[in-house]
Amino acid sequence: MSRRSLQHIEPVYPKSSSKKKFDHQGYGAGSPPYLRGPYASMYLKKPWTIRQYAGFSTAEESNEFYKNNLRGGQTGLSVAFDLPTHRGYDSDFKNIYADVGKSGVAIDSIEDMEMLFDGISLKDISVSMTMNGAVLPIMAFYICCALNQGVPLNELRGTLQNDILKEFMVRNTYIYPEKASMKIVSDIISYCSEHMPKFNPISISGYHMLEAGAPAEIELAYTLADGLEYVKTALDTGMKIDDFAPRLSFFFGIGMDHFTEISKLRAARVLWAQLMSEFNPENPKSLMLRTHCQTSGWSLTAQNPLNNICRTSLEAAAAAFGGTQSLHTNALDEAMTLPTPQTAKIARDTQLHLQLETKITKTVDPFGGSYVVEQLTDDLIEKASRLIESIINAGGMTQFIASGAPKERIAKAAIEKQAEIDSGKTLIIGLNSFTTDADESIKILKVDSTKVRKQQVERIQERKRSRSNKLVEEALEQLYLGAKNNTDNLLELSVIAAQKGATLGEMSYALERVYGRYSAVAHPIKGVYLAGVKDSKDYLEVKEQLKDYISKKGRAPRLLMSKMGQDGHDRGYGAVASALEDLGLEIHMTPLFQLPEEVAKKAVELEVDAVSMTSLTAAHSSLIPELKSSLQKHKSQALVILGGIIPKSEYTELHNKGVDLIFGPGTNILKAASLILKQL
Amino acid sequence: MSKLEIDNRFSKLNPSAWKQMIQFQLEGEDYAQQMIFHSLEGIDIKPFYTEEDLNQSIDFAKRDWSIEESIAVYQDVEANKLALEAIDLGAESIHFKVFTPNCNFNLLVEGIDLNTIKVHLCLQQLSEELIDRIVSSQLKQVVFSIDPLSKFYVTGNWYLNQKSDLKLLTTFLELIQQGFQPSLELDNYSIAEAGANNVYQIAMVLAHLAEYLHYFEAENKLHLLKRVTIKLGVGTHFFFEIAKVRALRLLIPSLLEAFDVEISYDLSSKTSSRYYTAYNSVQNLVRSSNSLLSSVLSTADTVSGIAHDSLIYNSNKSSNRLIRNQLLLLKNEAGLNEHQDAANGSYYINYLTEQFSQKALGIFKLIEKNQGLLFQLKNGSIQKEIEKQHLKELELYKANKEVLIGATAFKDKRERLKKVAERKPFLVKKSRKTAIIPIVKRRIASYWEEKRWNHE
Repeated sequence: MSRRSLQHIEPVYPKSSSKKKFDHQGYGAGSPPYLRGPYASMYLKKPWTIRQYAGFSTAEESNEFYKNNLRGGQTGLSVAFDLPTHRGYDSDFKNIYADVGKSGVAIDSIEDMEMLFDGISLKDISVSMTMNGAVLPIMAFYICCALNQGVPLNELRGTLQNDILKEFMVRNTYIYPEKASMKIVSDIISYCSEHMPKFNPISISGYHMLEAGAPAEIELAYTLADGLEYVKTALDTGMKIDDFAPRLSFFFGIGMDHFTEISKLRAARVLWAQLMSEFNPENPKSLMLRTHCQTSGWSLTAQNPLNNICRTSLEAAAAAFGGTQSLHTNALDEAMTLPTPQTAKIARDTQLHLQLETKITKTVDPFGGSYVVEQLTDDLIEKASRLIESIINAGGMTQFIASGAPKERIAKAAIEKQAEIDSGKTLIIGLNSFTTDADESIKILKVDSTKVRKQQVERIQERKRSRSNKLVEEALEQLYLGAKNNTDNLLELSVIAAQKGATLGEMSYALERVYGRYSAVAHPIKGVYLAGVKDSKDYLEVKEQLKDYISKKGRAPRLLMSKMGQDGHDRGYGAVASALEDLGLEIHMTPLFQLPEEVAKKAVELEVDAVSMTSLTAAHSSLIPELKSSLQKHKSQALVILGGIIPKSEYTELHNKGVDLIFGPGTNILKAASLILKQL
Repeated sequence: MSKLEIDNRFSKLNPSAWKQMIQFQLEGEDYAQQMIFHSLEGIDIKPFYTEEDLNQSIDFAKRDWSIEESIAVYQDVEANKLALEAIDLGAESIHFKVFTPNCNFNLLVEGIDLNTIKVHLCLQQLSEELIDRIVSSQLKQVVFSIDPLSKFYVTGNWYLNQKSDLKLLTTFLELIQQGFQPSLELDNYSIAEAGANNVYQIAMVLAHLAEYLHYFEAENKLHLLKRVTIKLGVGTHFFFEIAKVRALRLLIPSLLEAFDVEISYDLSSKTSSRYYTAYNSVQNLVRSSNSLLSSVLSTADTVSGIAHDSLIYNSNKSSNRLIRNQLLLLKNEAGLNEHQDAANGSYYINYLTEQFSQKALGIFKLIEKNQGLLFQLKNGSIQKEIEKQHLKELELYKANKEVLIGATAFKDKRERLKKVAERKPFLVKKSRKTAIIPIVKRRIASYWEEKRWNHE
């Protein structure tokens, strides 16, 4: 066979059109504005820290879980506290029994904190603590625990979330009003800058905004504007910018929109450097945005949960491509429950895979130059700049939050997204498209809160017996006076109180006596949902059903929606209420953190046809039976509806306990409305 | 705050200043040793890439990519049922690998909308009777494909013999004159599975295609070659996988240009099992997620995956659905329909693509200089080279320089497979007479897992 010579051939390059160059291109990593990463060689010497957020039940159980994770390749710790701890209540407080140990670990005293880190050297392991409400007692316990381990404070590494502003927008795990909360934030920053130079006293968080429904530019703008507010607050106390700015850290959520998420982290670094340069820092690290990231829990589905492995994996890759400094990857079952050891391992191994098997850490910002990524980075810088400018012009973030505008804007985005999903315009695999009836139920990890509470109560009682109550009372009085007179650093006083044996609830109450407890009002947002679904077939059906109902009963059905327990996540609560009202139901909403008796009384007063509870943290197992019996006591015939994260395995038991309708994660609200109308 | 202010207050970072900054942080450690990664392909990866690294911008137009379902056909009706179910649940392209000798092609595609679903029948036999049956089926909307040379290097034998196989192939390709869509299907997937590095895989595609081009040119039948499908294996080295496919898009046109032919070619990527583990098999879902993402960004025309538990369990709907769902997630939730071209412009990917194409071209030219692929398969030098590359990679794992989670590190020592597995996850060696040494697939984790299995 004769062969033609092919020794001359060369690659044929496709024709390339000239591409737009953006203003930000040409910046690198390791020098301001840190477009391509905070460090010049990024992951080449040391990849991001694998920091899995975890905590449940008692300190002993969480401690065991942490040690297993560290043995399995995790490189940092991130503590999840239970809701009573967040809200400043001891486990023996009367109204919070349903939440003890449920979605985090219960910490009431310094002993609990010591047990949590038993066998874990705080000198060697950096610890991140998601705490925003009861920040003072928790930091005080952590500091005392370190000192008792013999670790000097200047060697402690870790992060306290301590970002109270976003709590008023989205997460609602606050205790005190805005102004008092900001004083606490600045006291902690000040204390850490003086005593704990390696510790990040704040993690300015966009994650919860993403989870609450904020699109990327809003998450970026509001988070950075929050950061700016903290900086100004700290400067007002007399600190210099370089005293604290290098230790400010951030926390972003990473959703499914792959290249937008990569670009978001790049844009965040440029914008922060720009904002901070206004303060003329001498230390370039004051311009540097370092961030933790977490994959999106909202993007996960309870349906076909193994699909979540892929979702988390893609999100984790985006975080790494964007240049995160540490990362939490969600377990596949986090849409439904606490992770089991098996699912936690898969989540952790997802990061190990990226670090060890893919070679993505071998070069900095590997998508740098990509037309798509540079365009998206530019778009986000542009859009977020404008939003930040408008916030500054409105008097800063504290005032902007007080206006209610950011909360409403995020809630609107969440409702729009819900309408897109319910109408099928946005496809979610396994939820509203490519669905099957295949049973893919997974094992659920349940926490027996009665048992946890019993243990915690016994320990508190023992604590109170063994300490000098006189010394505790004196220390708490000093804390109270410190807050009242606005004189001393509240963290310093809290450390003294913790050393004397004060509990978390006692310290929180000492401040509550001065500041009071903050509460917010919830209300539906009109028109947004309807605009998104009005052309769908399902909507027309609901409309007909409602017409029939009104012609028979003479009025629209009346529904009281409630949030009981200490959970403040209200994306679903607000979206469902807004959607049902748009569909034509008469909706009333209770404030957050209600007791069953309070909800039942309100239901009777309003003469509602149905009463619902939204539950995300498993507190429904205790609260729903109580709601039912309170309703019976008041002779109410109202239908009882339960929505939120409700494992299918609990449905029968809950129906037996008097729940008429249950709507799990991913419920289509149009279909839910139709079912409610059929049942009424 | 206006956006323009950003640009006036910070200075741009030039590469030498960047390098200097890294050197400063290294505190005396050797830059080359600490910061340059030497890949198995012989390419040095620098810690950063900038616009200065762009010699030639390599941009490809956005392509429609299809979610493919691979179905092994042992029984036509059953395979048809599986295809219909897969289509219902998101598959956009069906690749039937037809093993059964008496397959009724019409039954196989019954109920499939051939206007919207791409159907590909890859035939595992070659005979005159088979070609007659294709003609009888009158299926002109599906692609029939065959490749005697792939069969030769994968099994070590021709269907019949070289001369007859090539003659029958010519007859098969002549179906184009009757309006059918006959195609060559180059099995580069097996080359990846056997352990050839990425650059060598590219060179093998070129050498394989060139072998046919030479043959048909000599026969004066180049006009019969109108369509080629190239099956590629996708590993876990994310950016290398992207660059591999892009390099092929630079090189295949140059080869076709040399023969002055116009051939439509499809690059069809499928996750490779080379880096899969039998133990901790759920980790393969993580591996496939990223492999599939890299495939989509690579500009592959069709993308498919293999089930995470396929090493230990028989093909099952649930696992097949999971892998398909990963592609659906990429397309519908991760924005990869809109941003499939996101690799365009990336300094790093551009550099890798250039390097891969130059190095692969060098290897290809060497193969050509030494009388081409077929000749070197017959003298065993190709097989030896691939084995050498496999062993070189394996050594890195043995030395703990590379890691496979669940197999070489982070193992769940309590896991037991032997009693639950439906199949043994290791290559079964069958002794049979072959004309050449076949190119066999080699899975990295087998080295550790076989010992573990035997100790259960």
